[in-house]
Amino acid sequence: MNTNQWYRLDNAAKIFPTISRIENSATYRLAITLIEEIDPDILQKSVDQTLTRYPTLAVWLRRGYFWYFFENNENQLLIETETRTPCGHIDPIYNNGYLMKVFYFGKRISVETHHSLSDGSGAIEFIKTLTYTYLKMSGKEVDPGDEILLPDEIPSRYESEDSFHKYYQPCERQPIKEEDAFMIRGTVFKPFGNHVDTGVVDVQEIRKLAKSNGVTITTYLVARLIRSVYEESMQFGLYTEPIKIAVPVNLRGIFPSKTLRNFFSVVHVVVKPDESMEFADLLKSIQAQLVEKTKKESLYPKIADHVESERFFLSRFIPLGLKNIILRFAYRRYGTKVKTATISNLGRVAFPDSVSQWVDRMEVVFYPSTGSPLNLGISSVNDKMSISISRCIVEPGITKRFFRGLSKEDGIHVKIYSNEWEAFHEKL
Amino acid sequence: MKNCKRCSVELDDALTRCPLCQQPVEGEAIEERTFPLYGQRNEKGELIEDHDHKARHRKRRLQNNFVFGTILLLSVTIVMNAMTFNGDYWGVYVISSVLYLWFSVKHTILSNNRACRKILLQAVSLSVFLAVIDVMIPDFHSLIDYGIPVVLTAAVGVEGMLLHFRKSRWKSYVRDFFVMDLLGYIPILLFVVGIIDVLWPSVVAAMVSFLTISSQFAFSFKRFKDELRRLLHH
Ligand SMILES: [Zn+2]
Repeated sequence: MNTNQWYRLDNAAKIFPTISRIENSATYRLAITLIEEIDPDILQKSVDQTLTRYPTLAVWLRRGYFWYFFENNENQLLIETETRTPCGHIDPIYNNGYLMKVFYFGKRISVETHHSLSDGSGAIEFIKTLTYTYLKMSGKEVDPGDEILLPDEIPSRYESEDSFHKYYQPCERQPIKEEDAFMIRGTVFKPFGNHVDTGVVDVQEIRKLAKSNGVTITTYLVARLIRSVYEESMQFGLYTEPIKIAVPVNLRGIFPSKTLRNFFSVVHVVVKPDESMEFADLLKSIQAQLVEKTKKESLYPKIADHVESERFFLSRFIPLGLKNIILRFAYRRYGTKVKTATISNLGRVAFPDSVSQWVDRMEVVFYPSTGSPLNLGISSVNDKMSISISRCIVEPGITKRFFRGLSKEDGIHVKIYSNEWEAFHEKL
Repeated sequence: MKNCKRCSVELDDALTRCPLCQQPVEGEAIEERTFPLYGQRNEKGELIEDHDHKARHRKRRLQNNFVFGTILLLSVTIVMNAMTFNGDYWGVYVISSVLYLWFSVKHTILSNNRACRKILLQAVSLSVFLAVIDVMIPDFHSLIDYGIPVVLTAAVGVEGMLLHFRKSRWKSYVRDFFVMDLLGYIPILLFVVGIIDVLWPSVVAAMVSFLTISSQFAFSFKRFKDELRRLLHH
């Protein structure tokens, strides 16, 4: 490995070091549950080995005069047993400089990644390699197949590229005035923390359900969430703000990128409270919006917006300290009001059979923040889909309505896991 | 297998109540937890989860008290100066001293900054303070003519030494070192535009800055070049 390597932050990453703090950690969790207890010694060795394959994750953040940048970090990333809230703020000073953490607890390995390093798709590759390496080091007969990046391969140049710049096309576009979204309100946990309820469902069952309604699984779950937010918070009030659900789109599915860094865009599904909240109408409207907004032609302007604001000469030559002040102010004023909640569906995580037989399930936990206090993370392995609702507020109503909707109205079998952070509210 | 009948969901065996409807469920909790029991304490008796928050809160509260005290003091000064005004702006001395002290306490004494950052901030704030006092005193220019160049010369020299001798800190020093070194040329610029009247202290400051940076470059040219490219990328 080139020990003198450094990277510019990719286009999407640039905002995260500036805005992340305890109440908005910009850190998401991917957690894989195996069918056996985790051995910490083997896990540590696997992490050491896996990191060599991911030079863009094995970095520390430094300040330049105009931008932050990453430089490769030669310290060891030490694994920890879980003691703290999921997706907690990572302070690199107490983490050997790293912006990611690997935890173990019982049968679970959790990888928490600061969003400046990579998006979910990049982190999935890491956890796949880690799981494979771990199983192999534990003496299991595993075959990587074609789906897993191996620790002894040389990382490809394409994996560290900033694909936003690569697929950027200048395009004409009108400035759109974004309406403020309806905000979920509630009592924020004290101490701040992340309560996660995970519902595990059968993929086939939920696919059949979505199909019988003529929509995708993502559409169906977005509709369920909007229904839950509406019934819990808006039904009997006079609200004018629309419910806006942010849906991150993996751009690797649309452009042929192999990058392990950020390459996603966010589209907003918007439902106005005066529109029909009939479930069938919701499904139709959401499906149409998602199809329209995730078209290549609709995504080019978004990429162009981001790339051009980064290339704008003022943003290039304002000193970093001043830039941070401006961005923080702008984010506080405009950034948090654009969405009601986020649903991040990472889809099916593909393991070769020899690996997946050791894997029970996989969870994605998206960090909540005071500006966006409830979010959903979805992923599936084998035939188990995990839907994790994370929140930093006491009120469980939306979560309850969401899962009851699936179980009672749709007849889906749901198994609930919970980290029960709420039990510690005002008690710690 | 545990169930919540109200919510029609199956529950993890580790749960004793339903996380959705908050009602207790039948059946013993199993030993094996799916998630840790939060709120455990470390050897010092601090909450493992919370130590970061508490430290920050304490610091913020302390700081807020200081801010309040400072604002109070400054307001009283301004009012007093205005009410007893006899052509003397003595309030400016008080205000600039307080602000300078404030800055020093926050950024030099209480902060976790690296040495080179502290020296840089101290050099800048002290120079500004000296300039204000100098302007306030009629027919007196020594603080600008001599004081500022001396402060900057000393700061550049010390940072050069730190950079040279504390090799393990090199990466965390170099960013502020470049800025400090550039500031060393400010007195000579001030002389050129006529703000500084005495030449030699400014020349010394510029010379020291030049010698410091060129000796650093001479020792490790490639390293400096690489570092500058990273720091300056835009
Ligand atoms: Zn229940």
